[in-house]
Amino acid sequence: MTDFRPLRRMLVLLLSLLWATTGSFAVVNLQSPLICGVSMGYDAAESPNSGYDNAPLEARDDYQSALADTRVSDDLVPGFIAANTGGKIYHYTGEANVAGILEKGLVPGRASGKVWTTPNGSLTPTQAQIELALSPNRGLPGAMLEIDAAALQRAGIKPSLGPVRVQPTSNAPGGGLETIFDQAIPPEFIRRAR
Amino acid sequence: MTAAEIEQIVDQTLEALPERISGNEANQVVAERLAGLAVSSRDALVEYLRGLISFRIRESERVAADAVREAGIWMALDLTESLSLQELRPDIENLIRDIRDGAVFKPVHENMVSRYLSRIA
Repeated sequence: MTDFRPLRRMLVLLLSLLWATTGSFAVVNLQSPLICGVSMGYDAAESPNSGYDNAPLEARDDYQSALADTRVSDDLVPGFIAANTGGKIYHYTGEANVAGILEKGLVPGRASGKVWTTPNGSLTPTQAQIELALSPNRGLPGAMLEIDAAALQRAGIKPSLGPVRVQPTSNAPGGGLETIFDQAIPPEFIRRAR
Repeated sequence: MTAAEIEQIVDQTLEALPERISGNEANQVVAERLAGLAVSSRDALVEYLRGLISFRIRESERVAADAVREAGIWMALDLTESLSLQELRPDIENLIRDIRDGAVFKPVHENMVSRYLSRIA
């Protein structure tokens, strides 16, 4: 007489595995909305949450593979400027600052040591203020200055960070892209675009 | 007023400004704050700015933290121009020479600094 016990044991084992796996997925499906709900509530409370899953990428050699898709042309080192910029980056500012910047160049702030730019040249003044987390009490950045990033790089001036997502501040949600320099940008590389 | 006290005023002024502000804009605010001291405490102001302009770091030795001290040079240049501090012309001339020698900044910055000299009234 044929002994079906080994076959039955295998079937039981298989059914157990299926049961356990289905149960795990069910638990995950149940947890996800709960976790998201809690996270969204946390964000809505405007607590100091970066709002991003990953830390910003620095323009460092060990991050170059992750930034490789941001390459504009072979002129630029990988990760230098975000895609689709045509080798240009932008600085949004108030009308009153334009003449001084075009004459003297863009100089880093004494407190931060940084010059703030963005690869996005299509922001409205309001969008720029919000997405680049520019302070609302300095007025709308109605002017847009274009910087020849490729020529700048040939002159030896490269960004210290970026492009990275703009982190939210107490005044603005951020979310745009920024490219940060820690050196002055001479006026020869800057022109008014808007 | 001493140079150290002026430094405190500058730091307090900068702390009150938003983070994402260009040096161009921030330095203008500082210049307005210090305008009176260019008369009442001119020597101390010159001493403070001279200290900022004298910072040197070669490119090969430069680390991220040096960016703030280099930004101090640009602020000092802006203040020197805005407040017409002729006393600092020799310091700027030395700075230009040191840029040429590779002691600070990049060669591309030499013209930027030279133009400050021509603008100081």
